[in-house]
Amino acid sequence: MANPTLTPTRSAVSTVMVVGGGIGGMRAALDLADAGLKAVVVEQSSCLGGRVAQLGYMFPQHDCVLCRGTPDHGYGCTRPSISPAYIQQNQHPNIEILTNAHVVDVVGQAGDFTISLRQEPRYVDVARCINCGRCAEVCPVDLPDGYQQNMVTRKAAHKVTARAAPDAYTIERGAYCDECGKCVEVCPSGAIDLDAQPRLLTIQAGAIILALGFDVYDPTGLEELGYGRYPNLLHAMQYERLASRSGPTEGIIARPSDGRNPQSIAWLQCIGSRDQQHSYCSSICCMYGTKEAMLAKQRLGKDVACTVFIMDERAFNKEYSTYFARARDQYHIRYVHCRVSAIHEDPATHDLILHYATADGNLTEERFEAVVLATGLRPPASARHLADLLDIELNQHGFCQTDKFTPLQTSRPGVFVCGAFSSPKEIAETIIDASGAAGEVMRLLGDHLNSYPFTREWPFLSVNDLPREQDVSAASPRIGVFTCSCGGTIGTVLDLEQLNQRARQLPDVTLAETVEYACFPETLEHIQARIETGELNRVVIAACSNRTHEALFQRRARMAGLNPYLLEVVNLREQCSQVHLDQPELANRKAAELVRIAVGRVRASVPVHKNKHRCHPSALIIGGGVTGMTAALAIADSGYDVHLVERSEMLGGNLLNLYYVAEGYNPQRLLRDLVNRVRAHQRITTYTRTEVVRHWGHVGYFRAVLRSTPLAGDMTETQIEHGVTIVATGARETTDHPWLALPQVITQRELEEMIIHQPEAIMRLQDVVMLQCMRPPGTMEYCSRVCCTNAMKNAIRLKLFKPDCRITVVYKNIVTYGFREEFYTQARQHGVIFVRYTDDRPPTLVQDGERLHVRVRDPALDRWLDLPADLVPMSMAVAPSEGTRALAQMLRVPLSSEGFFEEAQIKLRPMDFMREGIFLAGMAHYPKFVEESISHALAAAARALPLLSQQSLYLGGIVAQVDPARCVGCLTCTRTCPFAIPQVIQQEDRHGVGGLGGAAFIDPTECQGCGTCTGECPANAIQLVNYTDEQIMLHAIGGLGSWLPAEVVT
Amino acid sequence: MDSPQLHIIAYCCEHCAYAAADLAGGLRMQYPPEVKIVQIPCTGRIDVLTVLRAIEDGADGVMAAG
Repeated sequence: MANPTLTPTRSAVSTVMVVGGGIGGMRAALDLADAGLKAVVVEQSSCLGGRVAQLGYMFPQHDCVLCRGTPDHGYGCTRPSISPAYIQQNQHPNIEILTNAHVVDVVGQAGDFTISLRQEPRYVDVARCINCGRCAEVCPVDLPDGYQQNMVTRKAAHKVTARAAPDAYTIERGAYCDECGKCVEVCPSGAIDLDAQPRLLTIQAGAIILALGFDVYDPTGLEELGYGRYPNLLHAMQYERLASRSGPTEGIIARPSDGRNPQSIAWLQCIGSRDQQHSYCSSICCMYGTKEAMLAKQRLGKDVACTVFIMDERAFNKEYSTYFARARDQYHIRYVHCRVSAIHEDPATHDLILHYATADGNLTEERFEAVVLATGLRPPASARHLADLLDIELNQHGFCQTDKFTPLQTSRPGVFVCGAFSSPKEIAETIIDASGAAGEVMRLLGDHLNSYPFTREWPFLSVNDLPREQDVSAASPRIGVFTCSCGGTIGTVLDLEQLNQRARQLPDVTLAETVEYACFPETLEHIQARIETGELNRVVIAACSNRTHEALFQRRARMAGLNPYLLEVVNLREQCSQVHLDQPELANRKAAELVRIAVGRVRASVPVHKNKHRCHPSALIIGGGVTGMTAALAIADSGYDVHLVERSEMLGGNLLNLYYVAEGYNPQRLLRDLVNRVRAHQRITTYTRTEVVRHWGHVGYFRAVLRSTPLAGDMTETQIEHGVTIVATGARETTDHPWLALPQVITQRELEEMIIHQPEAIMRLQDVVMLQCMRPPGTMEYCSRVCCTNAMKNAIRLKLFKPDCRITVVYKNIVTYGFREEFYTQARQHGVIFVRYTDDRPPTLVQDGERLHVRVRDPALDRWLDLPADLVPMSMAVAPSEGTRALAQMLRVPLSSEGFFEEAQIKLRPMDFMREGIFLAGMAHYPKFVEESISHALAAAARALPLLSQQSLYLGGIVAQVDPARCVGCLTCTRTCPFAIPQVIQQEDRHGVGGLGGAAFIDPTECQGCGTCTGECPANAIQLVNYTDEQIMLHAIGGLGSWLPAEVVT
Repeated sequence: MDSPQLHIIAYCCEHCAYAAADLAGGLRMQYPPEVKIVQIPCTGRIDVLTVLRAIEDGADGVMAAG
C-alpha cells in the first residue's frame, strides 16, 4: 500500500510535526498555527489533553481550568476541548490532529524531514459521531478505565472524558471486543465502522517538536511500603481522580477498602525521587502534595488530619511560598521533615501504620486511615524508542538531553523539545517551554511565517475565503428557527413539532422546522440556501451546546453572506433535553422558553464587525540582559525589527556577574556570543543608557518615548512606533542586610567573584558558614529559586580548591529541584555539612573577640551550636529590578505580591499580560536560572511573532460603547473596569450631559468585553455590543420573568 | 422546587458557569427544569436593574453564576 501524503502542503518546510497532544504539544501547535505555519499534532491516545486532563485542580489557585485562559483568541489552551482552537467545529485551520498515531520513521534534516506515521483506527467517524452514547450503553465489554486510574470500569465503546478533543466516542477493539456489532446497529448516524484499517501516512515537515510529557513513577516495586497490597495506600494520580469532580467519587475522597471518607490522611513525598535509583527531584510533588492535602480539608471538612512527610519544602515559584504558608496556618496541614521507613497495615481496619524517625532521631509510629504516595516523574515509556528513531540523545535519567544554554534543542538540529520530557516540570513551565520551542521553530522557519494565513475577523477561525456580507439592515426581520432532533437524542425527549408550532407564534418567525442533524453538511447547506435566497435574515438553531457548535453555525451563516451575530444557538441538548429526562412536560415548556429568549435576542441583534488594524512590524524589548537579547535575536532572526533598550552602560544584565554555572558551562562565552550577535544584527537597534519614559497605544500600534543619557553629551528623547512590547527588565540580588556591614559577611555573588578573582584569599579559608534564605529586613518572604543551587555550586568549587575547608550550609529547605539535586548530592559527597533552621529559631551572629561565630539550633542534637566562620556568604533574596513599579504603571500592567510583574494567568499564560501585545519574560517574572530565562524569552518571542507576521489584526467587536450625551463623568466605569481601560477625556465633538467638557471613552482596541462598566454605569450611558439591555432583559417579547409569552408583541 | 410555577433565571458567565451547565448536560446530570439559563459574557454585565426587572416581571429568583 502506498503511503498517502497528508494534506498536500503548499510548502513542506512550513509544516511542523508536534509529537504529543498534552498541554505542551497543544500550546506549541497553537503558537505555530498562529504564526501561519501548519502544525500536525501526533497523539498516541484517542484524545488530546495528556496528564493535565486528569487533574481536577491546579495549584496554587485551585482553578479548575474551565474559566481560565479561554478568550476568543484561544490563548492558554488547557483542557482538551476547552480551548477554542481545539474545539472540533472551530479548529484552527492550521492545526491537524492525528490521534491514535505514532511515529514509525524519520529521515532528512532540519528544514526537510520526511516522517512516516501509523494511525490506528478509532472505528468511529469523528465527523459523524454525535456523542449520544448509545454505543456505550449497548456495549457488553467492561474494561478498566485508565482515565480514572483503573478504579472503575468503562465500556470498550467509550469516550475518554465528557469533553474530549476530538469530541467523539472511540472503540477499543482487541482481545476483549467480541465483535458483537451492537454498537454499529444502534448508532443513529452510521458513524461506526468496525472494519476500519490502520493508515500509514507520510508527512513532510521543516521541524519537529517533542512534547512527550512524562510517566508517573510506579511504586509497585517498593516492598517496604506495600503498594498494591494495602487497598488504602494510593498513588498520587489515583488521589487526583478521587479528589476531582469528574472522578469516580465525584470529588468526595473515599477509602477503596470500605468507601468511607478517611479522617486522617498522610502524604509521603519523594516516592521515586531523590533516592538511590532516582537521583533527581521531580519538582512538582511538594506542591501537588500540599494541594491534595488542602483538597482533603476542603472536601472532607477541616477536621480531617492531614500530614505531609516531606524532606524539603520546594515551593520555588511565584505565590508558592504563600501557598505553603496558607496550608500550614489556615488549613493546619502538618509537615513532618523525614522519610517514612516502612508502612504496615492493620488488617482489621485496613488503616495504615507509618514507621518513621522524628527530628531528634527517635523511632515512632503513627496510624492513618489512608496514605497517598507522592509519586515522582519518570521519562515517558515511548522515550527510548522514539529517541532511537529520531537519533536524539537522552540523559542519564532517560529524559531528553539538552544543553544548558539551548534548553529547547535536542541533539539533532531541527528537533526541539518542551515540557517534562526534558526534565520534570509543572504546567506553567511546560507552557513556557512549549511556546519557546515554537519560537525556536519560528526562527528556523522565519522565511515561511504566514505561509498559511488565517483570520480572527469573525467569532470563528477562518481563512479569508468568505463572500461579501449582505446588508440586511433595511429589511424587516425574517427569522428561521431550526430545531434539531439530533438523531433522536433531543427528538425523543422533546416534542419538536409542538416546539415548532410555538416558535411560529413568536414575532418575525417566518419558518420553524425540524432537522435530523443540524451539524451535518447536508443540513448546513439547506440552512445556507434559505439565507442565500433571502428567505431568512435571522436564524435560530435549537440544537446543542453553543460552546461546541456555535462557531460551526456562525461560519455557515457568514458563508451565506449573513453577519454571524444575526444567528442564535439554543442549547436544547445539554441544557434541556439531557438534564430533564424524567420531566418531559416541563422540559418542553423550558425548550419553548429558551427558543423564545433566542428569538427575542436575535430580533434585537445588529451586525457586529471588528476593526481591521495593521501590526507595526517591530518590537520594543525593555531590558538588555540574557532574556532581552535572546528575545531580540529570535524576533530579528525571523525578519522583524527590534528596539532593544538597556538602562545601564552595557548589555548583559546579571550575566555580567556570572562566571560559572553548576553544570560547568561558561556563561561569559554565552554573554560574548549574545552581545556580538545583537550588536551585529542589522534588524536590532540597541539603546544603552536609555529608559522608556512613556508608552501608549494598543497591540499592533504602540508608541514609546526613549530617553537616552549618554556619558558625554546631552540627554536625547526618541519616539518609536512598534507592534509589540516585551518586558525583560530582570531582577537583582538584594544587598540590604545589617550583617553585610561585617567584613566577613558577603553575598553569594560576591563569593563567586572572590573564587574567580582572589583564589589566594580562598586558599586561606578554614571555616565557611553559608546562610540561606536571607532577605532585607521587613520584606516579604518568598523562595528566590536560584540561591540553593548557587550555594551548592560555590560550596563544591570551594571544596575542589581547598578540600580541608569546613563548609556548613545553614538552611531552611534545600531547593535543588529537577536535575539540580545532583549538586546537593555532590556537595554532601564533598563533605559539606547541612544544618536546618526554622523561623522560630533563626541563626544569629556572635562576635567572640576576633572570631565570628554563627549560632544555630541543631534540630538533630537539639542544642545550640556556635560555628566559627572566616567567611559567611549569605544567599540574599532576589528582588525585582529598581523601577519595576514605575514601569508597571507606565505599561498599565499589574505586579504580584512579591513585586514582580504579574502575568495574565499564573499557570496557563506565564508570558502574557492581560493587556494584549505586551509580553513578559525572564526574571522580571520571577527569579530564574539562565536556561529558564532563555526559554521564557523564546516563549515571549513566540507570542510576539504571530502578531508581527500577520497581515491584519482584528480588534473590537463585542466591546462596551459609551453614549457621551448621557455620560455625567462620574468615573464609575474607570473604577469598576477590571482592566483600567475607560478614561474620562476631552475630545472634540464629545460632550457629556449638559454639554460637559469630558465624557467616558472606552478604547475598542483594548476593551475585553466583560460588560462590568455597562452593568455599573448609573446613567445607563454604556451598552455592551450584542449584550444590550434589550438583549438581556427582552422587554419586546415580554421579558424573562414568566414562562409563556405574556403577550406577543408584534 | 416542586412547584411547576417557579421561575428561576440563571445568568451564566459564558466562560465558566455556562460551560459548567454544558458539562452537566454532557454528563446527563438531572436538575429541576424551572431554571432558564441566559448566557452573558461575564457576571459583571449584570445590572441591578436586570435583576429587579426580572423579579418585577414575575421571576421567583435570579441566579448570577460566574
